[in-house]
Amino acid sequence: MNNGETSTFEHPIFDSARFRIHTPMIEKLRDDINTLVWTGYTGAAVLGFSRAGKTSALQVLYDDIHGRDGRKVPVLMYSAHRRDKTTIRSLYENILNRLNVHYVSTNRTELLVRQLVEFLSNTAADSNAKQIILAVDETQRLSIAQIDVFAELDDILRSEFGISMMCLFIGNKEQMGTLLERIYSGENQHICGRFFRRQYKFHGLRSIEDVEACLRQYDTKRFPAEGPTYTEFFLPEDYKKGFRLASVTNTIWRVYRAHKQHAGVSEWAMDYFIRATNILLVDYLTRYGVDRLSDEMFDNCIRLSGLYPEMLSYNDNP
Amino acid sequence: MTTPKLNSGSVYQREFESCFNAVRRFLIANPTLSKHTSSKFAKERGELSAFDAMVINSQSTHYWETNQWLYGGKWNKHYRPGITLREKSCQTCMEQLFHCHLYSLPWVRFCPIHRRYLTDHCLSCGEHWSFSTRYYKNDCPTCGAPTVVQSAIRRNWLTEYSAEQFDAINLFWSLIYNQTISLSVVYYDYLADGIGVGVSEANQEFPQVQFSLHPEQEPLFSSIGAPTDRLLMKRFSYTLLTSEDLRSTPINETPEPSSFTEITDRVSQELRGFSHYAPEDNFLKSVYMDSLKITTSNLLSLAYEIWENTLIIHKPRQMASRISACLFKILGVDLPSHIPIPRILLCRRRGIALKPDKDFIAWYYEESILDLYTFILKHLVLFRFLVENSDYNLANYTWHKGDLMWHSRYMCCGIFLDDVNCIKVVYESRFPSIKTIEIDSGNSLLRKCSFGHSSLKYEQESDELFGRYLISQQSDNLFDCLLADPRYKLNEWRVQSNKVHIDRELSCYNKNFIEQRRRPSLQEGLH
Repeated sequence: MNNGETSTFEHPIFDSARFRIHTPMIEKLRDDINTLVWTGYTGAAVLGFSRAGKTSALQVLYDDIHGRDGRKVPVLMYSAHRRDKTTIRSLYENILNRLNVHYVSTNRTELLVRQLVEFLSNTAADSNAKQIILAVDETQRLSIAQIDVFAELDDILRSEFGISMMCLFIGNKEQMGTLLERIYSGENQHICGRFFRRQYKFHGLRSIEDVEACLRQYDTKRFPAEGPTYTEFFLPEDYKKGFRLASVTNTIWRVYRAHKQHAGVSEWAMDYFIRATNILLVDYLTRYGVDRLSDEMFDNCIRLSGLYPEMLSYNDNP
Repeated sequence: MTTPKLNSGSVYQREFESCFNAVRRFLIANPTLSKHTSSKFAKERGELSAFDAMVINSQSTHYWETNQWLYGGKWNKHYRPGITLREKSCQTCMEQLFHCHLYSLPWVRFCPIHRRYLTDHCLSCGEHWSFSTRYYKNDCPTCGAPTVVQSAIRRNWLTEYSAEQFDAINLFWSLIYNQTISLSVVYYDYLADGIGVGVSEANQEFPQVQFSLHPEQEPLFSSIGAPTDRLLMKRFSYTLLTSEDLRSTPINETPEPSSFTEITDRVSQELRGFSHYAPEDNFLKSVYMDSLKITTSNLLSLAYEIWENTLIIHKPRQMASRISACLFKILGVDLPSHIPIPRILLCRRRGIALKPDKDFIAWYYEESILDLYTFILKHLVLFRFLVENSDYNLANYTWHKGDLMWHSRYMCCGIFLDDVNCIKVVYESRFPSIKTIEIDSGNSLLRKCSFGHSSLKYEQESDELFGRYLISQQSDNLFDCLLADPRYKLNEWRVQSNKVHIDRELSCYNKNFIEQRRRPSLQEGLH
């Protein structure tokens, strides 16, 4: 393990909140969003199973969305919270709070709207853009009336500032059913037409190619920027001898497939994949060496990754 | 959790906006800010607070440097020596959330974008623009930080300004900015309110050098409504001096520039033309200390003799020098010894020293010498007026304590009539515009009408700064002031008729003077 000038624990692999891997799905999502931006869509829904990596994907794409003129389109992320209050005002407060924008709790709702509108226009102006993307995560927590708020914001931005706001509603596929039914019902056609005309299914890893593409990034991404690759950082000697994490794709995929049926999942959620791979790299391979990599070793990694629901007590043997 | 973000209002930002505008857009972009918080921000604006940093960072460095140069880093302060700033703006610009510091310059009369005359008050609410406070107290949709509803309405008025619309402002900023580092500095008649520049002379007697602008810039000046009848351009090259150069420059050495004699000879020739017109060309015949008599006919020759014999030392005449000295003593003026040679110019803002070229020195001499002559002439006119209209004996002049200041360019003087109610006489400096002798006084009576210029800091500041802090004040001219003030019993005087007479006389002299300068053939004929 690399013990050079950079502390091992500063490595991004240990910062689970910020550790990102570009998956083929993310690349596809980026292309899709860029298409939406270019064609002037006002919104779309991105649905996927929980832990599939939807939120992370958006975070990865923060700096990667560009308008036709090549200018970066600012992306703001708002994660909806379920609260006791489901009023419009509470949503505004929540948005301002999540976006870390100044407001006072005693402010009238009208002022909150203005502050938010000014913030959104300000953000667009700072990027010299006429478009802005607001990604609304955990959409399943919102009510129809609250989703209508985003339509109002878009209207104000368009009419007063000439700025268009595209809302990306990101939600868990399994929890969005009821909400989507209501959205597609006749009385909410205005919301459907504006935001939900397009739906994108976001999925995790489904093929060995997906897995290999992800593993290859451990062999190419570097930390620090001019330092060793992730694999090299933790396995410097083996890396010198030619070991690459992507070379064990078959083993990893084989073990995952063995678990897939048993765990009852149709795809490998990014969250579990990254956790399993990180455990393999940081804990197993560094301790036992790449020569001793086996199905059993990765089997343990998968179990520790959370792929299986945690129903076991401490005394039970998995 | 980090501190909640405030909007900088960058969506409203336009190039060349003033600090006031930056604050205003900031307040409009943050409607949730309480008035208390807003005023706190506003009060802290002088410091480089986080707010400042936020607003300033959204500007270009070039622009902000220019802004800081003009305002000395202090918002809405009459800071920059030589510039009288007034709070003016264009109504349409204010509606569209734009204001530029250029508007505050006194000689800018109308908005180059909308071609509307600049006003010192808002036509919607009637209040005076007060850029230090208006933005956080004011709900006026035109000039304030309005309420939400008004804000929404007003925002619909916003229009984008094209680059062409900004052309004039852009050029002016570039001009002003560039002038601070070049000797080709902007000069606009000071007493008609002009631009001061960041080039100061080493010599205290001539604290500030100012130059004129080229007629090529006329369309530019016309676009903002500034009068362009006195535009002229001088460009001089210079050499940057290092600290080592400065150290090696002798301090007390006052070498005569090679062109000095040539220049003074030429000026003497010109002035001799004036004296030639005077019927009594020998002033000694008509001017005696026992019964001082300055007539219209001998005024020019007297001025010339004083000028020649006191300043051009190479032709001394003992008697003339003595009388000149006495005259200046009566006037309370320190006899000017000679014109200093501006060998080194200090640019304070840049912290650099420049060595101007010989052309500059020659030009400067010529201008200064002629100014000195005009200065003497004017004082003689004033002197004559006061003597002829005063009940006091010469020996009992109430203004014996008086202090008369002068500046080669500003042509200012102040005459204290007593310690409480001072009268400060201010002359216009440039020849063609001389119309009246204007006066300002500590006396409230003298502050009522018309235009005058006085320095509030006059009594506190050292002489060299005189004229640098001029603030336009309403006052009357010398004659009406004197007439209106019962303290001096001027009602009994023949002031009204003399006023006209003196005005015409002075204008006439200067007109002749200019004409003479422009008619070399006439001068050649005289000699």
